[in-house]
Amino acid sequence: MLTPEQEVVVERAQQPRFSGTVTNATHTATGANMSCGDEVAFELRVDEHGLIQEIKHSSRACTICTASADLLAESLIGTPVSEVAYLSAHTHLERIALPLSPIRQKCALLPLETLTRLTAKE
Amino acid sequence: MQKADFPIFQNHPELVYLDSAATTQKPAMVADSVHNYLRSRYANPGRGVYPLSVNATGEITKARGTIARFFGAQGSQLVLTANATEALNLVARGIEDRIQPGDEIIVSELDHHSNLLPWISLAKRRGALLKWLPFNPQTGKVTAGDFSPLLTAQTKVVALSLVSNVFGTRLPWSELSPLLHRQGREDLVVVLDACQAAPVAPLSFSDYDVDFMVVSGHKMYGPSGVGLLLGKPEALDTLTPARPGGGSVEMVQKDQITWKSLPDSLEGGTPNSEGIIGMATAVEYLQNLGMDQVAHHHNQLIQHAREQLTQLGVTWLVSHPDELPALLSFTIPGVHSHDVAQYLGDRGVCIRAGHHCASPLHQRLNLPGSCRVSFGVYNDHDDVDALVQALTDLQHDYHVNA
Repeated sequence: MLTPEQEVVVERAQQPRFSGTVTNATHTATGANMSCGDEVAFELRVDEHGLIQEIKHSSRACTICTASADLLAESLIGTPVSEVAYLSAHTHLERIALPLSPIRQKCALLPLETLTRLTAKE
Repeated sequence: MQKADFPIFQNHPELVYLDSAATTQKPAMVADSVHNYLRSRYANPGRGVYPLSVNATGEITKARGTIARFFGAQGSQLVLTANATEALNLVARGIEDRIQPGDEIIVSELDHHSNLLPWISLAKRRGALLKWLPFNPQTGKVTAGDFSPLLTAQTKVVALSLVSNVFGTRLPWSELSPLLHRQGREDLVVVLDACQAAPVAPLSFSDYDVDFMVVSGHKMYGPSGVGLLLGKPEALDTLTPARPGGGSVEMVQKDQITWKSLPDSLEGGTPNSEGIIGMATAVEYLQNLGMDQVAHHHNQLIQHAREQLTQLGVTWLVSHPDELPALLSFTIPGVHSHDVAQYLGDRGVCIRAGHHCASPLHQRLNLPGSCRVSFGVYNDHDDVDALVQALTDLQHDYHVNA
């Protein structure tokens, strides 16, 4: 049996709410953890006020990383894109709400670290 | 088989340890021998003339002989290192001056990083050409057919593993060996990594016409910090000492060094004397069990586990094995290997996940990682049952079907 917190994470990873691509994306970011093979990519649509209107991720990753990407995407709807570079690892780990070893924390933080390297599309 | 000999299982009754290929748990007699040496006989061997040091010198010499004979070699053929990785690096550094630009080094796609990186680095430093022996993804083995065209007059180093730490498959040595044309190729250095072979079956260095063989002490019930470099005397004699230091020389003058004889010349610095004592005890432990018995028990567990996991629907990394492997690597469809290992670990079942220090292998298979189960002398059918139950529960909780 999984704990309720683990259930949330598994459910998010297996049925992510923010996976896919964004039409007319204005920003993208990609990241990978070479040691475990986790890969994450984000597409964002930012409006004229600098607010994130749409965000989607595509992940080829473990449960923790995929769920992390989905939870992170959900948390960023409507926030200024300028804040993405300063996302708090501590806050995000609390959002995931699971005790994680240092190795699995790397999985959890890959999406966040990826987004800090967000670039505007030409 | 021998769980009662290992105190960790009394301290952690819930522990199902299935990662012996990474490192083995230690029998009480090994732990006790280290402990007792440290408490009552510890000294720096080969240095002092007082009785405590003289005695320690004798113990290390005796331990060296015990370990070497276990592998069909003499004490003078055994260089004691910090680990197998250091042993491989000692060879790579030791032959460096002989490697010229354009020389060729053959390594294998399925090999462990420790038997790749020293040769990759050597090739880069000396301008040598690194050639990769591919593996058959269905059998998980290299073949003589692929090996033969790689061998040329420029081949100076061949470095391979006797047993793959991912596939558990064995090197077809009887087919490869004749290709090496040992006669007349005095400049060819052949190195075999026996880290996964040594703990699971009888192994004798003298059965292999190679220059060097490397074994990992902590993977065969010995303490950490002891690696074994076995070598032909003439091959060891040609190595430039890569770890020069105290204890490796008779005399240092400002313009001249007088090296000690082998193996001391290659063992600079204070040895891990307590580890070496423990290593000899580990050898005695295995001798008492009998390596034929160890191999029989190990093979039975592999066979049983493979049948059970096949029924669960795991995807084996080797789809068409032509032999019983020494360990079991697989993926669970729909569940990342780290998630599998985490789930099992939370339930006391310890398996390895990731690329197992063999990333070229996993890149070739286009896999981010895999799960690996490996057995030791302390494992039994109850451990396999616990593994199967945990994987069954995982499939249920992750909603993946067999």
